[in-house]
Amino acid sequence: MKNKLLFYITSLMLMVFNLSLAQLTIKGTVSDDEGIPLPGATVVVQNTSNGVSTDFDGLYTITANTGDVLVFSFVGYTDQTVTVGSSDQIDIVLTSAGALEEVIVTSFGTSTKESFTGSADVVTAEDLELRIATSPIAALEGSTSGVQFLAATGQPGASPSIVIRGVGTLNGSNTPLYVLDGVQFEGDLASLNQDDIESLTVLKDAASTALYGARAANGVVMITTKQGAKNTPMRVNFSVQSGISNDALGQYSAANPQQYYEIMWEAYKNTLSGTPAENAAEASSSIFNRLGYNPFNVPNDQIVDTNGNINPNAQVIYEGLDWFDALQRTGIRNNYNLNVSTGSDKSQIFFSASYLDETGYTIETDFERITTRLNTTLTPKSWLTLGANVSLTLAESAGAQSGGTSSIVNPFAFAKNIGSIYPVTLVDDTGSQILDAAGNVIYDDGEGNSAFGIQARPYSLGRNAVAEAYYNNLINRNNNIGARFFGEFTVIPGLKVKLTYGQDIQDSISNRYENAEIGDGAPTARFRETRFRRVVENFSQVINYKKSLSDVHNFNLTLGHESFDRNFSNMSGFKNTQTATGIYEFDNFSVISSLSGYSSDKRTEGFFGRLNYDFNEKYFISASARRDGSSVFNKDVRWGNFYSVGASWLIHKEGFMDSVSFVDNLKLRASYGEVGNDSLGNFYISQPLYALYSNAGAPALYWDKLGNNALTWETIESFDLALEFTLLNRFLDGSLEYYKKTSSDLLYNLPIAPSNGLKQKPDNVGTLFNSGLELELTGHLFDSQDFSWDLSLQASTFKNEITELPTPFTSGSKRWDVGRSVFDYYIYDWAGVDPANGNSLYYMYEDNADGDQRIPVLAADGSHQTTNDYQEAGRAYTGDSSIPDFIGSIQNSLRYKNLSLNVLITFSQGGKILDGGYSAMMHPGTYGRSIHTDALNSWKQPGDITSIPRLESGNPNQSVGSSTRFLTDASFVSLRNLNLSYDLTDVIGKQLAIDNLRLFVSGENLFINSAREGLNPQYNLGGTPAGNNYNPARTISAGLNLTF
Amino acid sequence: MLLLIGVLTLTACTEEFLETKPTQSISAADALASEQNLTLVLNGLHRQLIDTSPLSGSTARGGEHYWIPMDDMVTGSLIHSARGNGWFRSALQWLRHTIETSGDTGQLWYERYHFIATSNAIINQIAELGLPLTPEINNILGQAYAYRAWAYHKLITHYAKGYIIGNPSSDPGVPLLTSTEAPYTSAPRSSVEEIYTQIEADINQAITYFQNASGPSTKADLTLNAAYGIKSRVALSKGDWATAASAAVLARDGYGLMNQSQWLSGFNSVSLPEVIWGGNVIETETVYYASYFYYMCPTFNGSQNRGNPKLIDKRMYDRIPATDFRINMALPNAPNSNSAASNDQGGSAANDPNYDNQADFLAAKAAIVAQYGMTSRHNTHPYMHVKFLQKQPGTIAPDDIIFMRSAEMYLNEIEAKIMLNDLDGARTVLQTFGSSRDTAFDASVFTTKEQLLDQLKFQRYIELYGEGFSYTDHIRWDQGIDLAGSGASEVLYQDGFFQAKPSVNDGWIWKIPQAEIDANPNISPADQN
Repeated sequence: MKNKLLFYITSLMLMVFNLSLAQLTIKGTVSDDEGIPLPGATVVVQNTSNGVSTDFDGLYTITANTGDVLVFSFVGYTDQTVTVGSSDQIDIVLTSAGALEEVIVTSFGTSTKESFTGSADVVTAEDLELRIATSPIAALEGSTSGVQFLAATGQPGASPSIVIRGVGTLNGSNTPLYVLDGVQFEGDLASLNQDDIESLTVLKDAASTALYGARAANGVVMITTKQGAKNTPMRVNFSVQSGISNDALGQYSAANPQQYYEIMWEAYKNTLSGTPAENAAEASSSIFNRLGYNPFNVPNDQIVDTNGNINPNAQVIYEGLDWFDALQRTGIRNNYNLNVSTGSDKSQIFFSASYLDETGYTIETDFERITTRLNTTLTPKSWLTLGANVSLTLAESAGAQSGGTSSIVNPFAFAKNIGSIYPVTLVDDTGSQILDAAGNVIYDDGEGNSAFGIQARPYSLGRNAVAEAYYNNLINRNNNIGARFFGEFTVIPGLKVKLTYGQDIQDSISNRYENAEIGDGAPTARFRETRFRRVVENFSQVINYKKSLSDVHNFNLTLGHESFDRNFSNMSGFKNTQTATGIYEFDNFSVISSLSGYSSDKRTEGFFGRLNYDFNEKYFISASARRDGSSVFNKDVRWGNFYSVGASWLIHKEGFMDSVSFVDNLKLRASYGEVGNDSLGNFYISQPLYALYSNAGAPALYWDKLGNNALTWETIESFDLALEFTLLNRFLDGSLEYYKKTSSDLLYNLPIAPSNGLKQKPDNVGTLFNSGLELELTGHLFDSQDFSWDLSLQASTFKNEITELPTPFTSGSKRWDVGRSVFDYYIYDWAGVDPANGNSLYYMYEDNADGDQRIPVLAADGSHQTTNDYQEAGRAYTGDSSIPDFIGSIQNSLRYKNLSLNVLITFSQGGKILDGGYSAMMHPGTYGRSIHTDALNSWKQPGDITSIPRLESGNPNQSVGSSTRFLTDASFVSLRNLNLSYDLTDVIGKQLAIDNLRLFVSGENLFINSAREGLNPQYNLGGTPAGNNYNPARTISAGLNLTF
Repeated sequence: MLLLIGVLTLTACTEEFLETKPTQSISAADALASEQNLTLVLNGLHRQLIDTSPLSGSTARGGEHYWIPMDDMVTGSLIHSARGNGWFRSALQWLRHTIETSGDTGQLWYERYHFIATSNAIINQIAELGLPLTPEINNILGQAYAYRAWAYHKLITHYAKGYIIGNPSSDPGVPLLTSTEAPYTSAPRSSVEEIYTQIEADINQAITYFQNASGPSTKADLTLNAAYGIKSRVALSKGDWATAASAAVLARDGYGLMNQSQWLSGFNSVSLPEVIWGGNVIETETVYYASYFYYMCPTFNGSQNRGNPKLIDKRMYDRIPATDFRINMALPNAPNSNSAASNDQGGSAANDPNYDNQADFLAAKAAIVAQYGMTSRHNTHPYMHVKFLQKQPGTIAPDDIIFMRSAEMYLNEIEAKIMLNDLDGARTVLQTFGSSRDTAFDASVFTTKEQLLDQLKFQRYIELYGEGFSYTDHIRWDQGIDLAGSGASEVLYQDGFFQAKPSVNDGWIWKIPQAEIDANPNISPADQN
């Protein structure tokens, strides 16, 4: 900062006095604080285009005038300035910038960590290098505090999603604003090449986000791509990664065929109405008829005896009973990346190209991506800088889960939920797979095969998700074009005007073919093609003025205007009845089922200003304001005002701290501000609408949206207080931070009684807050020539509470009420199993006299009354929520000579998950469905003490998914990343004129320990995983990085 | 300063920049602004009867495609022969309408109230605009009132105790809304009597408008005849027999009875002469596997039918005289080809008592497949119905749905006259109706009221099989369910195999959807059925 001030003062003086002085040729060396020469460091005569860079030995020669100011700079080091005097030899030692000089990309500018009054976490290119993930956002996990992660699915090309500082909305989006090189980014995060990224900055509080006003409610992630450094020789970087992947979570423990028959025998027997002996005999003789398949080598009526035990001679003879085995393979991921960067004094160039090819660990799931980027900054005149950053991503993916998780086509649900006795392919009497004439297996559609005594399958008759995955064809092709152009004008010293125009275009073609043999496409086959184009335009004009008075009062004023225009157009056609096989184009289908198309627009416009002031670089104040208008709202209520103020105090610069030797840096900062949110899904949500429709080909309309002309901004007030410190001669640094975010006028699609004819009304309702503590600590435990060890710990707490709501309302398994969190469970309260009859019991609740609370129904003896009828029992708050007490990470970075090891462990403690994946397998005995091995311990006879109720096929009271019975501890510990690398630069690199050569092995999602195998504790914030999605992948990669 | 000037100059074009309009919708004000647009809104209701609901928050049910078979399946009138692929299985086991969170409970309620709300909007808008009562406006108003009556009638016959078997003045009905307005707090449950009062007023109003209305454009439109039909149904369900009889006569005016070939053509077209009201489903508006014919037509090429042909109650079918052409509506001796048939008699001649050798068994199946145009993957089963047949058998091509036809009106009239003790009158109409199906029909053999009523119930079951009348018939007749001897399998039907009669069994009353209780401040969990 100081050198910049000098810059301005000097330039001002030069302008005023217009001095003309004698020229000198100056020589010298630039080295680091250990005396090692720095090749490629730049030496520039300030305020001129005159500059050179140091050679391999750190030497430079430059011509300058007496009184000129030379600026010495090198990436990662603090700039130094020297005024040219009489000497022609100037040797400079640059000191490492260190953590506190980290540059933070902020809204419409940059800052240093020291002067920043807001709250931000930065992930650098070096951090990213450790993580082998397709979406760069994955690298934020474990590197940022206060950020919750929802795991990416295993689908190649999937991206995780993040939530910054808790859920501040009710059913608006929780996705943060992504800003890519200064422009709002709406594309697929996995379309970004990780190697192109210089830094990811998570802006968390109002002081840092307020300039994005209307869009900053959920925090902001600034993504900055690389550019060439000034005055650097041309450098080529090449990297290759090759890896394999599999299922990171594993599956729930399903009963094997013997166990399955025993459990289903019990469930069937308990539905029968005869005497116990009759029922047992009937169950033994006809359980096969209920299940339809006998995978054993014993007769159909001798599988389970009348005591419920499997025939000891029963051996499984069916082949191919493992559906996951049929669905899964070893995934392979290959990634190649090349980039070239260079810069002179007047131009900087970065060029990259990459190719990623990933086959998922589930059949028919693939992702292929080509990216290229050209980022150029040109400074033709001292007062003019122009830049263009253009990128192109071509991606193609195939996915097996074409119908979504709720669809029958979803192979994960199919494989998980099918009983263990049903084979994937047709088998004969001996259990061997039947092959067709070409020698291929024949997939079993479950519709029965009387030739081999196989009945219809009670589970998903007529379907086979493995066959459908193979026979169907789902391809998505996405082209992403991104362009950023800017021109920056220095009007007078200190005053700059920057115009930035950005456009992102996503073109997508999605083809979905459903085959004629099996599934929804049968018997004619059908084909859908959906094309869309999304164009996001962003234009901003920003004026920046810097001024310093008396060398101690430093001002930085920013004023600007920004407009945003998102246009989306979509066309989708659907035809059936194919002519030839293997052609996936409309011409090959003869009957039109539907043809539709639409477009939508969202626009915002904002005016903003910010003033930063510091006194002697010790006290910092920042204030900003923004006025935004959004097309989402009616014109009378469309404009919102947002602002922030922040201050920081560098305590260590005070005189009284001179004697406190163990403190290197100490900074206290606080901020307060308001940002807004206009996002409630639909861009026309405030308008009452009738949708276009048809009836038998004639035009029609239907009442679709209630609208709400008064709908307006949701406001998020944010308070942040933090202490940042570096102690014990840089042995320990860290920060402790408190925040409270209060969201009011919450945008919500209020559920209204369906008897109104529509179910939702968009409205501004209620107030809630999120608060938490965030701790970040890094210990530099060892730091010697040969060995270094850094240990980082991050931990964040979360609290969420609704403080105002006109009337409580229920949403799924949660109910929102004052004093409760958004994630408090409101479900049936399970009371265990009645030992007398095995009934599932539920605690009973009723409304209190005011009708605003649920209170226990008490029995005559004062105990909480129970019933087997869950609907009669009613729901109530159970005291549980899905919010964790705290989450965090531990990162170890070890280096011994050229060998480096990084280990990242993430964890979450507390909170409950309503484990739908488990409850789906704890049904009371639905024929054909898989069942969890826990069901083996079900109640069997009076007196049994067990937590598993009596099995009884079709009895809805025995197992209720939305009950406390299925609440499961959400805590987990995960070995998220491990990276072992070896730097060969010294060994062979130098001889080959290679600047950097590194080999590495990296593993992602290596291990997770949660309460139950198969459970994905990072599925969603509400804690309601259904266990039927593409599980996250465990990926192990090896690769090399090469720079020359 | 610069910024200020910028702000001022930009403001005008900014407001224009921020004014956006959707392309999938038009504003509510425009939609209700003209006679022409109001007709389009009615068209939207017609379509929603035969489409998977486009409403947000809906479940994947295809309107009447779903509700018509449902009302026959819940009572065991349209019988499943096997577990099939799951559609309706839990409904026929009485695990749907009895559960407040089930999709059935929520969706039927939501769809009907959407019809009511849309009708309200039309009715109120015309009043507000003060549009003159031209024939076109009369037609719009007639349809809006008729839809509202129809929708409330569907609600009250499902979500409340039957009028005849209950205490209508005190039994809780459903919320009564004649407009949808802020703050959208809906209403408490009105009594059954109050809802019926509204329904009767509405249907009479509809009839008044229709009497001076422009004609219908298609059979999707509600008409004077359809309004009388609704009036007859309403009167029947509350025991207003005289009205039920007179309205039925007016409803069928102009619609004769079908002959043999028309009757046996598959009930797949609204152009059949008996059809008063129905939905025409065209290729580009197909609902694929959410369709009526998918759920119940034995030739439809979907796994639901291939693995689960639907049966007719053999106790009823066996009463059909040989001279009645409707004996062809089912195949009592079809081989039981389904190894997973719930009666455990399927798969081969070895299991099927009707066949003693496999060759005959296979030949019989092949003959049925050939005659009705099924595929070889379709299963057959004794007593499978062939009443509903596709225009293009063995495909998934869409077919029409019939909502009201004249035969029902004959049966309404007969029943009403029996209940009025006008036995001669009943016999006369019964003779007309019966002889149109059975050349040897002789109504005079039914001498007592009981015999007539028994014959009426038989005729109604056979004639209206699969057309969605069974649920309300059971409630009106206070008739429980006992499927012993029907051909249904107790293992499959479980709780649906036997149910006590509606007057003593509140299980017949659908649960109020949990979403309604959650969001309606006037209805608490204590108000649940």
